[in-house]
Amino acid sequence: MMNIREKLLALYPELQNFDFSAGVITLENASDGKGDYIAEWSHPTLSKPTEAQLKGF
Amino acid sequence: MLKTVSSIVNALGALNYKGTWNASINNPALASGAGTKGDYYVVSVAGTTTLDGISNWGVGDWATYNGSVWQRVEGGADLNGVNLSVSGTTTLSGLTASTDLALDAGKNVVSVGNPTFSAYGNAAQTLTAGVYTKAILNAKDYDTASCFDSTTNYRFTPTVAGYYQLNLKLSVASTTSITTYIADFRKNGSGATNGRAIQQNGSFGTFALFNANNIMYFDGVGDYCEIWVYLDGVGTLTISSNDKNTTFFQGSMIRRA
Repeated sequence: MMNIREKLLALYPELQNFDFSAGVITLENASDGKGDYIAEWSHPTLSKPTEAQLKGF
Repeated sequence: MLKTVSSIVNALGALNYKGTWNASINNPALASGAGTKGDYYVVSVAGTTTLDGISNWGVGDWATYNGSVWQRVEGGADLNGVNLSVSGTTTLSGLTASTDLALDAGKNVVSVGNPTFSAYGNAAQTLTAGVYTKAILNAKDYDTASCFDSTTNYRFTPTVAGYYQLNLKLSVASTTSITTYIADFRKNGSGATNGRAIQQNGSFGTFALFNANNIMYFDGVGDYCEIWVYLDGVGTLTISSNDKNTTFFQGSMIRRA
């Protein structure tokens, strides 16, 4: 099963790993049992994917 | 016209001992602004009866009437003041305090109520690559004021306002390789601006040990700090744990607000 970053990289192949550490796209896990989620999406050209898009993988 | 000796003495401004006074129950009854100039009583029982704005009566103190108001003259063995200003050399043979700062018998300053803690995780925590994850610090080495939540939110929420020294040591591992590791002190949910350790886009093998330090202000009524970790690399990425010597989050007050 793909994790959330793998899904985003599959959806947007132009994304770089650096995008996820530098605050362009921030993925988080609050260690509360709810899993990984998109906390912030500030990419200048790519739009934030919907839940349906992510579930499609 | 006959005059009593007392009235003559009083007219001269001399003191006239009237006996003892129980300041707890105001006996004999004294009243603000009422008395005979020069009369004085010695407090036999400490109390808080208010006479002309004075209410800190200790055993041995004198209550004297100056013709207008009652005044307190310090007496007895114990100092019973409200404020104390000292200049020059001060020698203390014993000092205790019920508040937050005291000297011990060895003349060392002892902080009594300053929160101090050390927390760590008691099991390895697997992280998803590229995901900022709150560190699960579910064990404590010490926590003097019960300010670290090691069961639900894994956060430090000090109850005393002030500046705190925070220390983080973190060991991380990968079954293959680590390329990036980041650790943030997150104050009230906000990240990197509150202190960060980072190594990025490198090749750090299967294990990395790093430190981060910060001095952070807490308001004592809700401000909190958590540790969030970001790992990237190949293989299974974990925060190593069950070793409080290589993975811990510590904090201690260094200055009151």
